[in-house]
Amino acid sequence: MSGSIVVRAVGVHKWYGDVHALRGVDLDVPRGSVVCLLGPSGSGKSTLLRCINRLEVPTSGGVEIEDDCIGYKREPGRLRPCSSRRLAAQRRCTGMVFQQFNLFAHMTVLQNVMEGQTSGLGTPKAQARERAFELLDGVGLVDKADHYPGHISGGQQQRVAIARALASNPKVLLFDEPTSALDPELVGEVLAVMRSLAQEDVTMIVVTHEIEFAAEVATEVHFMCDGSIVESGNPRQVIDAPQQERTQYFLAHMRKRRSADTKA
Amino acid sequence: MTSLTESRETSLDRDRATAEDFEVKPGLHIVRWVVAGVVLLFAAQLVYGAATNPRLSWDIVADYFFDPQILDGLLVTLGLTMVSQVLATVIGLTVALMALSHNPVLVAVARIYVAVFRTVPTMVQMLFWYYLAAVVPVLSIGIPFGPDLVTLDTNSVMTQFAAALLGLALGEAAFLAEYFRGGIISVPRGQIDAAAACGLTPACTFRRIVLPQALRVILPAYGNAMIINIKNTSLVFVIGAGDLMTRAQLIYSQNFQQIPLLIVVSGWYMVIVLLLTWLQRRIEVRYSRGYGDRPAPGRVWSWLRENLSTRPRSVR
Repeated sequence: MSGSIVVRAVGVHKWYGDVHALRGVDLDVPRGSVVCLLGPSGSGKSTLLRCINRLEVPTSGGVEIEDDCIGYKREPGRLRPCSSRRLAAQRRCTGMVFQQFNLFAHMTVLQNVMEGQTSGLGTPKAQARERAFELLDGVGLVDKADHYPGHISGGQQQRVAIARALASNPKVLLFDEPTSALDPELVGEVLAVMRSLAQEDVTMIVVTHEIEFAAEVATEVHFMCDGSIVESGNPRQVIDAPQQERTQYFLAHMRKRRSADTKA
Repeated sequence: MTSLTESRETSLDRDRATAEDFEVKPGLHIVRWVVAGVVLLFAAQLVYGAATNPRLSWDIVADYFFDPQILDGLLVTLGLTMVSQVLATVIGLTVALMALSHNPVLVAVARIYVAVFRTVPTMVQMLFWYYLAAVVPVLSIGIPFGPDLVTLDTNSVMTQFAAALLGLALGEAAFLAEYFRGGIISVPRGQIDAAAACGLTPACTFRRIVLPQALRVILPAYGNAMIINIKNTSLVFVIGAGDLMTRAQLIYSQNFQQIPLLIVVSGWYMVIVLLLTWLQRRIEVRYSRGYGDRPAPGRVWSWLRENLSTRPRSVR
Protein backbone atom coordinates (compact mmCIF):
# COMPACT_ATOMS: atom_id res chain seq x y z
CA MET A 1 0.00 0.00 0.00
CA SER A 2 1.22 3.48 -0.74
CA GLY A 3 2.61 5.28 2.29
CA SER A 4 0.62 8.39 1.64
CA ILE A 5 -2.71 6.70 2.41
CA VAL A 6 -3.56 7.03 6.11
CA VAL A 7 -7.02 5.48 6.22
CA ARG A 8 -8.30 2.87 3.82
CA ALA A 9 -11.79 1.40 4.08
CA VAL A 10 -12.38 -1.65 1.91
CA GLY A 11 -15.80 -3.05 1.06
CA VAL A 12 -17.41 -1.98 4.32
CA HIS A 13 -20.91 -3.36 4.78
CA LYS A 14 -23.03 -2.72 7.85
CA TRP A 15 -26.37 -4.33 8.63
CA TYR A 16 -28.59 -3.33 11.53
CA GLY A 17 -31.04 -6.20 11.55
CA ASP A 18 -32.81 -5.84 8.20
CA VAL A 19 -31.39 -2.40 7.47
CA HIS A 20 -28.44 -2.29 5.10
CA ALA A 21 -26.76 0.89 6.39
CA LEU A 22 -23.50 0.62 4.46
CA ARG A 23 -23.39 -1.13 1.09
CA GLY A 24 -19.78 -1.90 0.38
CA VAL A 25 -18.01 1.43 0.87
CA ASP A 26 -14.42 1.96 -0.29
CA LEU A 27 -12.56 5.03 0.84
CA ASP A 28 -8.93 6.15 0.66
CA VAL A 29 -7.79 9.08 2.76
CA PRO A 30 -4.37 10.53 1.81
CA ARG A 31 -2.13 12.03 4.48
CA GLY A 32 -2.78 15.70 5.14
CA SER A 33 -6.11 15.70 3.34
CA VAL A 34 -9.43 17.00 4.59
CA VAL A 35 -12.11 14.59 3.45
CA CYS A 36 -15.70 15.75 3.83
CA LEU A 37 -18.59 13.29 3.78
CA LEU A 38 -21.83 14.91 2.68
CA GLY A 39 -25.27 13.48 2.24
CA PRO A 40 -28.80 13.36 3.60
CA SER A 41 -29.36 12.03 7.10
CA GLY A 42 -29.56 8.26 7.22
CA SER A 43 -27.20 7.93 4.27
CA GLY A 44 -24.56 6.15 6.36
CA LYS A 45 -21.98 8.96 6.81
CA SER A 46 -21.78 8.68 10.59
CA THR A 47 -21.86 4.89 10.48
CA LEU A 48 -18.91 4.89 8.10
CA LEU A 49 -17.02 7.27 10.36
CA ARG A 50 -17.74 5.09 13.42
CA CYS A 51 -16.56 2.02 11.50
CA ILE A 52 -13.17 3.69 11.02
CA ASN A 53 -12.37 3.62 14.76
CA ARG A 54 -14.56 0.55 15.25
CA LEU A 55 -17.16 2.12 17.49
CA GLU A 56 -19.33 0.21 15.02
CA VAL A 57 -18.12 -3.20 13.90
CA PRO A 58 -18.52 -3.61 10.14
CA THR A 59 -20.61 -6.65 9.19
CA SER A 60 -18.06 -7.32 6.47
CA GLY A 61 -15.12 -5.53 4.98
CA GLY A 62 -12.57 -3.66 7.06
CA VAL A 63 -10.57 -0.55 7.77
CA GLU A 64 -6.82 -0.09 7.75
CA ILE A 65 -4.98 2.79 9.37
CA GLU A 66 -1.43 2.94 8.10
CA ASP A 67 -1.60 -0.74 7.10
CA ASP A 68 -2.84 -1.77 10.56
CA CYS A 69 -6.17 -3.53 10.28
CA ILE A 70 -8.43 -2.05 12.99
CA GLY A 71 -9.77 -4.69 15.35
CA TYR A 72 -7.55 -7.45 14.03
CA LYS A 73 -4.14 -8.94 14.42
CA ARG A 74 -2.43 -10.07 11.24
CA GLU A 75 -1.18 -13.62 11.41
CA PRO A 76 0.51 -15.43 8.52
CA GLY A 77 -2.16 -15.91 5.92
CA ARG A 78 -5.14 -14.62 7.91
CA LEU A 79 -6.57 -12.09 10.35
CA ARG A 80 -7.62 -12.80 13.92
CA PRO A 81 -9.75 -10.58 16.14
CA CYS A 82 -7.39 -8.74 18.49
CA SER A 83 -7.58 -8.10 22.22
CA SER A 84 -9.45 -5.12 23.61
CA ARG A 85 -6.10 -3.76 24.81
CA ARG A 86 -4.70 -3.79 21.28
CA LEU A 87 -7.91 -2.31 19.87
CA ALA A 88 -7.60 0.53 22.39
CA ALA A 89 -4.03 1.13 21.18
CA GLN A 90 -5.22 1.13 17.56
CA ARG A 91 -7.94 3.62 18.41
CA ARG A 92 -5.31 5.99 19.74
CA CYS A 93 -4.25 6.43 16.09
CA THR A 94 -7.57 8.22 15.64
CA GLY A 95 -9.18 11.08 17.50
CA MET A 96 -12.91 11.60 17.41
CA VAL A 97 -15.12 14.64 17.87
CA PHE A 98 -18.80 13.90 18.45
CA GLN A 99 -21.96 15.78 17.56
CA GLN A 100 -22.97 15.88 21.24
CA PHE A 101 -19.39 16.69 22.44
CA ASN A 102 -19.45 13.77 24.92
CA LEU A 103 -16.98 15.38 27.30
CA PHE A 104 -16.58 13.38 30.49
CA ALA A 105 -19.13 15.13 32.68
CA HIS A 106 -17.44 14.36 36.01
CA MET A 107 -14.04 15.71 34.99
CA THR A 108 -12.78 19.23 34.50
CA VAL A 109 -11.77 20.49 31.08
CA LEU A 110 -8.12 19.82 31.93
CA GLN A 111 -8.83 16.28 33.19
CA ASN A 112 -10.79 15.57 30.01
CA VAL A 113 -7.78 16.39 27.86
CA MET A 114 -5.41 14.46 30.17
CA GLU A 115 -7.50 11.29 30.55
CA GLY A 116 -6.58 9.61 27.24
CA GLN A 117 -2.92 10.28 27.89
CA THR A 118 -2.74 9.13 31.53
CA SER A 119 -5.20 6.23 31.45
CA GLY A 120 -4.72 5.23 27.81
CA LEU A 121 -1.07 5.87 26.99
CA GLY A 122 0.29 5.77 30.54
CA THR A 123 1.87 9.20 30.19
CA PRO A 124 3.09 10.62 33.53
CA LYS A 125 0.66 13.16 34.99
CA ALA A 126 2.96 16.18 34.84
CA GLN A 127 3.75 15.57 31.20
CA ALA A 128 0.09 14.97 30.30
CA ARG A 129 -0.81 18.18 32.08
CA GLU A 130 1.74 20.17 30.15
CA ARG A 131 0.52 18.74 26.85
CA ALA A 132 -3.10 19.37 27.84
CA PHE A 133 -2.35 23.03 28.51
CA GLU A 134 -0.60 23.30 25.13
CA LEU A 135 -3.66 21.83 23.41
CA LEU A 136 -6.06 24.04 25.36
CA ASP A 137 -3.95 27.01 24.39
CA GLY A 138 -4.34 25.93 20.77
CA VAL A 139 -8.14 26.10 21.04
CA GLY A 140 -7.99 29.24 23.19
CA LEU A 141 -9.43 27.75 26.38
CA VAL A 142 -6.59 27.74 28.91
CA ASP A 143 -8.66 29.96 31.20
CA LYS A 144 -11.44 27.32 31.32
CA ALA A 145 -9.10 24.49 32.36
CA ASP A 146 -10.68 24.07 35.81
CA HIS A 147 -14.29 24.36 34.65
CA TYR A 148 -16.61 21.40 34.34
CA PRO A 149 -18.13 20.75 30.90
CA GLY A 150 -21.62 21.59 32.16
CA HIS A 151 -20.47 25.11 33.00
CA ILE A 152 -19.15 26.22 29.59
CA SER A 153 -20.90 26.91 26.29
CA GLY A 154 -21.49 24.32 23.58
CA GLY A 155 -18.90 25.91 21.31
CA GLN A 156 -16.33 25.86 24.10
CA GLN A 157 -17.19 22.24 24.89
CA GLN A 158 -16.64 21.26 21.28
CA ARG A 159 -13.27 23.05 21.22
CA VAL A 160 -12.27 21.11 24.35
CA ALA A 161 -13.42 17.94 22.59
CA ILE A 162 -11.09 18.79 19.70
CA ALA A 163 -8.19 19.32 22.11
CA ARG A 164 -9.02 15.99 23.74
CA ALA A 165 -9.10 14.24 20.36
CA LEU A 166 -5.66 15.65 19.52
CA ALA A 167 -4.09 14.55 22.81
CA SER A 168 -2.89 11.14 21.64
CA ASN A 169 -1.22 12.60 18.51
CA PRO A 170 -3.63 10.75 16.24
CA LYS A 171 -2.90 10.05 12.58
CA VAL A 172 -6.41 11.09 11.63
CA LEU A 173 -9.16 13.15 13.23
CA LEU A 174 -12.76 12.03 12.81
CA PHE A 175 -15.46 14.69 13.08
CA ASP A 176 -19.06 13.50 13.39
CA GLU A 177 -21.26 16.52 12.58
CA PRO A 178 -19.25 18.69 14.97
CA THR A 179 -21.41 21.79 14.59
CA SER A 180 -24.90 20.29 14.27
CA ALA A 181 -25.74 20.57 17.98
CA LEU A 182 -24.51 24.15 18.30
CA ASP A 183 -26.42 27.41 18.33
CA PRO A 184 -25.78 29.26 15.06
CA GLU A 185 -23.60 31.93 16.67
CA LEU A 186 -21.29 29.27 18.15
CA VAL A 187 -20.66 27.38 14.89
CA GLY A 188 -18.00 29.86 13.74
CA GLU A 189 -15.56 29.32 16.62
CA VAL A 190 -15.53 25.55 16.09
CA LEU A 191 -15.11 25.84 12.32
CA ALA A 192 -12.26 28.30 12.90
CA VAL A 193 -10.37 25.72 14.97
CA MET A 194 -10.98 23.08 12.30
CA ARG A 195 -9.78 25.46 9.59
CA SER A 196 -6.53 26.08 11.42
CA LEU A 197 -6.02 22.33 11.87
CA ALA A 198 -6.50 21.87 8.14
CA GLN A 199 -3.81 24.48 7.53
CA GLU A 200 -1.44 22.50 9.76
CA ASP A 201 -2.01 19.52 7.43
CA VAL A 202 -3.80 17.42 10.03
CA THR A 203 -5.58 14.57 8.26
CA MET A 204 -9.30 14.91 8.88
CA ILE A 205 -12.48 13.10 7.92
CA VAL A 206 -15.46 15.35 8.48
CA VAL A 207 -19.12 14.40 8.37
CA THR A 208 -20.90 17.72 8.00
CA HIS A 209 -23.84 19.67 6.71
CA GLU A 210 -21.74 22.85 6.45
CA ILE A 211 -21.52 22.96 2.66
CA GLU A 212 -19.59 26.23 2.63
CA PHE A 213 -17.00 24.87 5.03
CA ALA A 214 -16.60 21.78 2.84
CA ALA A 215 -16.26 23.90 -0.29
CA GLU A 216 -13.60 26.05 1.33
CA VAL A 217 -11.52 23.59 3.34
CA ALA A 218 -12.01 20.09 1.90
CA THR A 219 -9.45 18.55 -0.40
CA GLU A 220 -11.89 15.77 -1.25
CA VAL A 221 -15.64 15.52 -0.99
CA HIS A 222 -17.65 12.32 -1.03
CA PHE A 223 -21.40 12.42 -1.42
CA MET A 224 -23.18 9.52 0.25
CA CYS A 225 -26.68 8.26 -0.32
CA ASP A 226 -28.44 5.10 0.90
CA GLY A 227 -25.26 3.57 2.29
CA SER A 228 -23.04 4.12 -0.73
CA ILE A 229 -20.68 6.81 -1.95
CA VAL A 230 -22.38 8.03 -5.13
CA GLU A 231 -20.05 10.85 -6.11
CA SER A 232 -16.46 11.78 -5.23
CA GLY A 233 -13.98 14.41 -6.25
CA ASN A 234 -12.59 17.78 -5.28
CA PRO A 235 -15.10 20.29 -3.89
CA ARG A 236 -15.24 22.22 -7.12
CA GLN A 237 -16.41 19.13 -8.96
CA VAL A 238 -18.81 17.74 -6.38
CA ILE A 239 -20.21 20.90 -4.82
CA ASP A 240 -20.12 23.37 -7.72
CA ALA A 241 -20.77 20.98 -10.61
CA PRO A 242 -22.35 17.77 -9.33
CA GLN A 243 -22.98 15.11 -11.97
CA GLN A 244 -25.34 12.82 -10.07
CA GLU A 245 -28.99 13.69 -9.79
CA ARG A 246 -29.11 12.85 -6.05
CA THR A 247 -26.18 15.16 -5.35
CA GLN A 248 -27.73 18.00 -7.34
CA TYR A 249 -31.03 17.58 -5.53
CA PHE A 250 -29.40 17.50 -2.09
CA LEU A 251 -27.19 20.54 -2.70
CA ALA A 252 -30.03 22.56 -4.19
CA HIS A 253 -32.12 21.71 -1.15
CA MET A 254 -29.34 22.73 1.26
CA ARG A 255 -28.77 26.02 -0.59
CA LYS A 256 -32.46 26.80 -0.50
CA ARG A 257 -32.52 26.26 3.25
CA ARG A 258 -29.36 28.29 3.65
CA SER A 259 -30.76 31.28 1.77
CA ALA A 260 -34.01 31.00 3.72
CA ASP A 261 -31.94 31.09 6.91
CA THR A 262 -29.97 34.15 5.90
CA LYS A 263 -33.13 35.98 4.79
CA ALA A 264 -34.70 35.26 8.16
CA MET B 1 -67.48 51.62 37.52
CA THR B 2 -66.14 55.09 38.01
CA SER B 3 -63.25 53.87 40.09
CA LEU B 4 -62.30 51.43 37.33
CA THR B 5 -62.17 54.13 34.68
CA GLU B 6 -60.31 56.39 37.06
CA SER B 7 -57.62 53.85 37.74
CA ARG B 8 -57.30 53.18 34.04
CA GLU B 9 -56.85 56.90 33.43
CA THR B 10 -54.19 57.26 36.08
CA SER B 11 -52.28 54.35 34.63
CA LEU B 12 -52.62 55.86 31.18
CA ASP B 13 -51.45 59.22 32.47
CA ARG B 14 -48.04 57.88 33.22
CA ASP B 15 -45.77 57.42 30.26
CA ARG B 16 -44.63 53.95 31.23
CA ALA B 17 -44.33 51.64 34.22
CA THR B 18 -41.16 51.97 36.24
CA ALA B 19 -39.29 49.30 38.15
CA GLU B 20 -40.91 50.52 41.39
CA ASP B 21 -44.34 49.50 40.10
CA PHE B 22 -43.19 45.89 40.26
CA GLU B 23 -41.72 46.04 43.74
CA VAL B 24 -43.36 43.41 45.91
CA LYS B 25 -43.86 43.90 49.62
CA PRO B 26 -42.88 40.70 51.42
CA GLY B 27 -45.95 38.97 52.90
CA LEU B 28 -46.36 38.26 56.62
CA HIS B 29 -46.90 34.48 56.20
CA ILE B 30 -49.34 34.44 59.13
CA VAL B 31 -50.59 30.90 58.37
CA ARG B 32 -47.04 29.66 58.18
CA TRP B 33 -46.21 31.08 61.62
CA VAL B 34 -49.39 29.70 63.18
CA VAL B 35 -48.82 26.19 61.78
CA ALA B 36 -45.21 26.23 62.90
CA GLY B 37 -46.28 27.37 66.38
CA VAL B 38 -48.88 24.60 66.74
CA VAL B 39 -46.47 21.92 65.57
CA LEU B 40 -43.77 23.17 67.95
CA LEU B 41 -46.28 23.16 70.80
CA PHE B 42 -47.16 19.50 70.21
CA ALA B 43 -43.49 18.62 69.88
CA ALA B 44 -42.70 20.39 73.15
CA GLN B 45 -45.47 18.46 74.93
CA LEU B 46 -44.08 15.18 73.54
CA VAL B 47 -40.51 15.93 74.61
CA TYR B 48 -41.60 17.18 78.03
CA GLY B 49 -43.75 14.10 78.57
CA ALA B 50 -40.94 11.76 77.61
CA ALA B 51 -38.41 13.58 79.74
CA THR B 52 -40.55 13.66 82.88
CA ASN B 53 -42.27 10.26 82.63
CA PRO B 54 -40.80 8.33 85.59
CA ARG B 55 -41.64 4.96 83.99
CA LEU B 56 -39.19 5.64 81.17
CA SER B 57 -36.44 5.54 83.84
CA TRP B 58 -33.86 7.72 82.15
CA ASP B 59 -31.44 6.98 84.97
CA ILE B 60 -31.45 3.30 84.00
CA VAL B 61 -30.99 4.27 80.36
CA ALA B 62 -27.97 6.33 81.37
CA ASP B 63 -26.62 3.47 83.50
CA TYR B 64 -26.80 0.94 80.71
CA PHE B 65 -25.78 3.16 77.77
CA PHE B 66 -22.08 2.44 78.33
CA ASP B 67 -22.55 -0.91 80.04
CA PRO B 68 -19.68 -3.26 79.04
CA GLN B 69 -22.15 -5.90 77.85
CA ILE B 70 -23.96 -3.37 75.70
CA LEU B 71 -20.65 -2.08 74.30
CA ASP B 72 -19.62 -5.67 73.49
CA GLY B 73 -22.89 -6.07 71.65
CA LEU B 74 -22.29 -2.79 69.85
CA LEU B 75 -18.93 -4.10 68.60
CA VAL B 76 -20.59 -7.26 67.26
CA THR B 77 -23.27 -5.15 65.56
CA LEU B 78 -20.65 -2.88 63.99
CA GLY B 79 -18.52 -5.83 62.89
CA LEU B 80 -21.53 -7.62 61.44
CA THR B 81 -22.62 -4.47 59.65
CA MET B 82 -19.24 -3.69 58.15
CA VAL B 83 -18.35 -7.20 57.00
CA SER B 84 -21.82 -7.89 55.60
CA GLN B 85 -21.85 -4.50 53.86
CA VAL B 86 -18.50 -5.16 52.17
CA LEU B 87 -19.58 -8.67 51.22
CA ALA B 88 -22.92 -7.40 49.89
CA THR B 89 -21.18 -4.68 47.88
CA VAL B 90 -18.79 -7.12 46.23
CA ILE B 91 -21.51 -9.67 45.48
CA GLY B 92 -23.94 -6.95 44.38
CA LEU B 93 -21.48 -5.39 41.96
CA THR B 94 -20.59 -8.81 40.56
CA VAL B 95 -24.25 -9.70 40.04
CA ALA B 96 -24.91 -6.30 38.42
CA LEU B 97 -22.01 -6.77 36.00
CA MET B 98 -23.23 -10.29 35.23
CA ALA B 99 -26.71 -8.94 34.52
CA LEU B 100 -25.21 -6.37 32.11
CA SER B 101 -22.84 -8.79 30.38
CA HIS B 102 -23.35 -10.19 26.90
CA ASN B 103 -23.21 -13.76 28.18
CA PRO B 104 -26.79 -15.12 28.36
CA VAL B 105 -25.84 -17.71 31.00
CA LEU B 106 -24.45 -15.02 33.32
CA VAL B 107 -27.50 -12.83 32.71
CA ALA B 108 -29.84 -15.70 33.62
CA VAL B 109 -27.87 -16.58 36.77
CA ALA B 110 -27.89 -12.93 37.86
CA ARG B 111 -31.64 -12.66 37.35
CA ILE B 112 -32.32 -15.84 39.30
CA TYR B 113 -30.05 -14.67 42.12
CA VAL B 114 -31.90 -11.38 42.43
CA ALA B 115 -35.29 -13.08 42.21
CA VAL B 116 -34.45 -15.62 44.94
CA PHE B 117 -32.57 -13.46 47.45
CA ARG B 118 -34.87 -10.49 47.12
CA THR B 119 -37.87 -12.62 48.05
CA VAL B 120 -36.66 -14.62 51.07
CA PRO B 121 -36.95 -12.54 54.26
CA THR B 122 -33.66 -11.81 56.02
CA MET B 123 -34.66 -13.53 59.24
CA VAL B 124 -35.77 -16.68 57.43
CA GLN B 125 -32.47 -16.71 55.57
CA MET B 126 -30.44 -16.41 58.75
CA LEU B 127 -32.27 -19.35 60.29
CA PHE B 128 -31.84 -21.33 57.11
CA TRP B 129 -28.07 -20.76 57.03
CA TYR B 130 -27.85 -21.51 60.73
CA TYR B 131 -29.54 -24.88 60.24
CA LEU B 132 -27.61 -25.64 57.04
CA ALA B 133 -25.92 -28.62 58.63
CA ALA B 134 -29.26 -30.40 58.71
CA VAL B 135 -29.31 -30.39 54.91
CA VAL B 136 -25.61 -30.36 54.04
CA PRO B 137 -23.65 -31.92 56.91
CA VAL B 138 -20.31 -31.61 55.15
CA LEU B 139 -19.09 -28.71 53.03
CA SER B 140 -16.53 -29.57 50.40
CA ILE B 141 -14.70 -27.48 47.86
CA GLY B 142 -13.61 -29.27 44.73
CA ILE B 143 -14.36 -29.90 41.08
CA PRO B 144 -18.11 -30.14 40.37
CA PHE B 145 -19.07 -33.82 40.09
CA GLY B 146 -15.34 -34.53 40.58
CA PRO B 147 -13.00 -35.03 43.54
CA ASP B 148 -13.13 -32.85 46.66
CA LEU B 149 -10.13 -30.74 47.58
CA VAL B 150 -11.16 -29.36 50.98
CA THR B 151 -13.77 -30.84 53.28
CA LEU B 152 -15.26 -29.04 56.29
CA ASP B 153 -17.82 -29.88 58.91
CA THR B 154 -20.77 -27.57 58.28
CA ASN B 155 -21.52 -27.03 61.95
CA SER B 156 -18.01 -25.81 62.70
CA VAL B 157 -18.09 -23.36 59.76
CA MET B 158 -21.62 -22.10 60.19
CA THR B 159 -21.26 -20.25 63.48
CA GLN B 160 -23.94 -17.81 64.58
CA PHE B 161 -21.82 -14.97 63.25
CA ALA B 162 -21.29 -16.65 59.87
CA ALA B 163 -24.98 -17.49 59.48
CA ALA B 164 -25.94 -13.94 60.39
CA LEU B 165 -23.39 -12.60 57.94
CA LEU B 166 -24.65 -14.73 55.05
CA GLY B 167 -28.27 -13.93 55.77
CA LEU B 168 -27.57 -10.19 55.84
CA ALA B 169 -25.09 -9.98 52.97
CA LEU B 170 -26.77 -12.25 50.40
CA GLY B 171 -30.11 -10.54 50.84
CA GLU B 172 -28.75 -7.03 50.65
CA ALA B 173 -26.55 -7.94 47.67
CA ALA B 174 -29.68 -8.67 45.63
CA PHE B 175 -30.95 -5.13 46.27
CA LEU B 176 -27.55 -3.54 45.73
CA ALA B 177 -27.20 -5.40 42.42
CA GLU B 178 -30.32 -3.65 41.16
CA TYR B 179 -29.12 -0.23 42.39
CA PHE B 180 -25.74 -0.75 40.73
CA ARG B 181 -27.33 -1.92 37.48
CA GLY B 182 -29.62 1.11 37.44
CA GLY B 183 -26.71 3.47 38.10
CA ILE B 184 -24.54 1.94 35.42
CA ILE B 185 -27.19 2.06 32.69
CA SER B 186 -27.91 5.69 33.58
CA VAL B 187 -24.49 6.74 32.18
CA PRO B 188 -25.07 7.99 28.62
CA ARG B 189 -23.78 5.81 25.78
CA GLY B 190 -21.82 8.79 24.40
CA GLN B 191 -19.52 8.77 27.46
CA ILE B 192 -18.52 5.18 26.71
CA ASP B 193 -18.05 5.96 23.00
CA ALA B 194 -15.84 8.91 23.87
CA ALA B 195 -13.75 6.83 26.28
CA ALA B 196 -13.30 4.14 23.62
CA ALA B 197 -12.36 6.77 21.06
CA CYS B 198 -9.75 8.13 23.50
CA GLY B 199 -8.13 4.69 23.56
CA LEU B 200 -9.29 3.50 26.98
CA THR B 201 -9.75 -0.25 27.39
CA PRO B 202 -13.24 -1.44 28.44
CA ALA B 203 -12.03 -2.15 31.99
CA CYS B 204 -10.44 1.28 32.26
CA THR B 205 -13.56 2.91 30.80
CA PHE B 206 -15.65 1.26 33.50
CA ARG B 207 -13.33 2.29 36.30
CA ARG B 208 -12.56 5.85 35.20
CA ILE B 209 -15.66 6.98 33.30
CA VAL B 210 -18.72 4.81 34.00
CA LEU B 211 -18.41 3.99 37.70
CA PRO B 212 -17.73 7.55 38.98
CA GLN B 213 -20.76 8.84 37.07
CA ALA B 214 -22.90 5.87 38.08
CA LEU B 215 -21.99 6.43 41.74
CA ARG B 216 -23.74 9.77 41.68
CA VAL B 217 -26.98 7.92 40.95
CA ILE B 218 -26.20 4.89 43.14
CA LEU B 219 -25.11 6.62 46.35
CA PRO B 220 -28.46 7.81 47.76
CA ALA B 221 -29.98 4.35 47.32
CA TYR B 222 -26.80 2.69 48.57
CA GLY B 223 -26.87 4.74 51.76
CA ASN B 224 -30.47 3.72 52.28
CA ALA B 225 -29.64 0.05 51.80
CA MET B 226 -26.79 0.33 54.26
CA ILE B 227 -29.00 1.87 56.92
CA ILE B 228 -31.56 -0.88 56.42
CA ASN B 229 -28.72 -3.39 56.74
CA ILE B 230 -27.56 -1.89 60.02
CA LYS B 231 -31.01 -2.18 61.46
CA ASN B 232 -31.46 -5.67 60.05
CA THR B 233 -28.52 -6.81 62.17
CA SER B 234 -30.92 -6.61 65.12
CA LEU B 235 -32.69 -9.65 63.61
CA VAL B 236 -29.74 -11.86 64.52
CA PHE B 237 -31.18 -12.21 68.03
CA VAL B 238 -33.17 -15.15 66.59
CA ILE B 239 -29.94 -17.15 66.35
CA GLY B 240 -28.33 -15.46 69.35
CA ALA B 241 -25.29 -13.98 67.63
CA GLY B 242 -24.55 -11.68 70.58
CA ASP B 243 -25.22 -8.33 68.93
CA LEU B 244 -26.52 -5.16 70.59
CA MET B 245 -30.14 -6.33 70.52
CA THR B 246 -29.31 -9.82 71.83
CA ARG B 247 -27.36 -8.36 74.75
CA ALA B 248 -30.13 -5.95 75.62
CA GLN B 249 -32.60 -8.81 75.57
CA LEU B 250 -30.39 -10.86 77.86
CA ILE B 251 -30.18 -7.97 80.31
CA TYR B 252 -33.89 -7.15 80.42
CA SER B 253 -34.84 -10.83 80.74
CA GLN B 254 -33.10 -10.62 84.11
CA ASN B 255 -33.99 -7.14 85.38
CA PHE B 256 -37.31 -6.68 83.51
CA GLN B 257 -36.37 -3.14 82.45
CA GLN B 258 -37.50 -3.68 78.85
CA ILE B 259 -38.31 -0.10 77.89
CA PRO B 260 -35.10 1.56 79.15
CA LEU B 261 -32.96 -1.08 77.45
CA LEU B 262 -34.85 -0.77 74.19
CA ILE B 263 -34.20 2.97 74.42
CA VAL B 264 -30.48 2.24 74.88
CA VAL B 265 -30.54 0.04 71.77
CA SER B 266 -32.45 2.65 69.74
CA GLY B 267 -30.05 5.34 70.94
CA TRP B 268 -27.04 3.45 69.67
CA TYR B 269 -28.65 2.68 66.32
CA MET B 270 -29.49 6.36 66.03
CA VAL B 271 -25.88 7.36 66.70
CA ILE B 272 -24.57 4.96 64.05
CA VAL B 273 -27.14 5.92 61.44
CA LEU B 274 -26.68 9.66 61.98
CA LEU B 275 -22.90 9.33 61.63
CA LEU B 276 -23.32 7.36 58.42
CA THR B 277 -25.86 9.81 57.05
CA TRP B 278 -23.38 12.62 57.58
CA LEU B 279 -20.67 10.60 55.84
CA GLN B 280 -23.00 9.75 52.96
CA ARG B 281 -23.84 13.41 52.35
CA ARG B 282 -20.16 14.28 52.14
CA ILE B 283 -19.49 11.51 49.64
CA GLU B 284 -22.55 12.50 47.61
CA VAL B 285 -21.30 16.07 47.31
CA ARG B 286 -17.98 14.76 46.04
CA TYR B 287 -19.59 12.65 43.32
CA SER B 288 -21.99 15.33 42.13
CA ARG B 289 -19.13 17.57 41.04
CA GLY B 290 -19.60 18.86 37.53
CA TYR B 291 -23.36 18.41 37.53
CA GLY B 292 -24.45 21.74 38.95
CA ASP B 293 -26.84 19.83 41.18
CA ARG B 294 -27.77 21.44 44.40
CA PRO B 295 -25.62 19.96 47.10
CA ALA B 296 -27.27 17.31 49.24
CA PRO B 297 -30.29 18.65 51.15
CA GLY B 298 -29.16 21.45 53.39
CA ARG B 299 -29.29 21.94 57.12
CA VAL B 300 -32.44 22.51 59.10
CA TRP B 301 -31.43 26.03 60.00
CA SER B 302 -30.95 27.28 56.47
CA TRP B 303 -34.25 25.68 55.55
CA LEU B 304 -36.00 27.45 58.41
CA ARG B 305 -34.37 30.74 57.48
CA GLU B 306 -35.47 30.42 53.90
CA ASN B 307 -38.99 29.19 54.45
CA LEU B 308 -40.14 30.94 57.60
CA SER B 309 -38.56 34.31 57.15
CA THR B 310 -40.63 37.27 56.02
CA ARG B 311 -37.79 38.60 53.96
CA PRO B 312 -38.02 38.06 50.19
CA ARG B 313 -36.41 34.76 49.28
CA SER B 314 -32.95 34.96 47.82
CA VAL B 315 -32.91 34.06 44.15
CA ARG B 316 -30.80 31.03 43.35
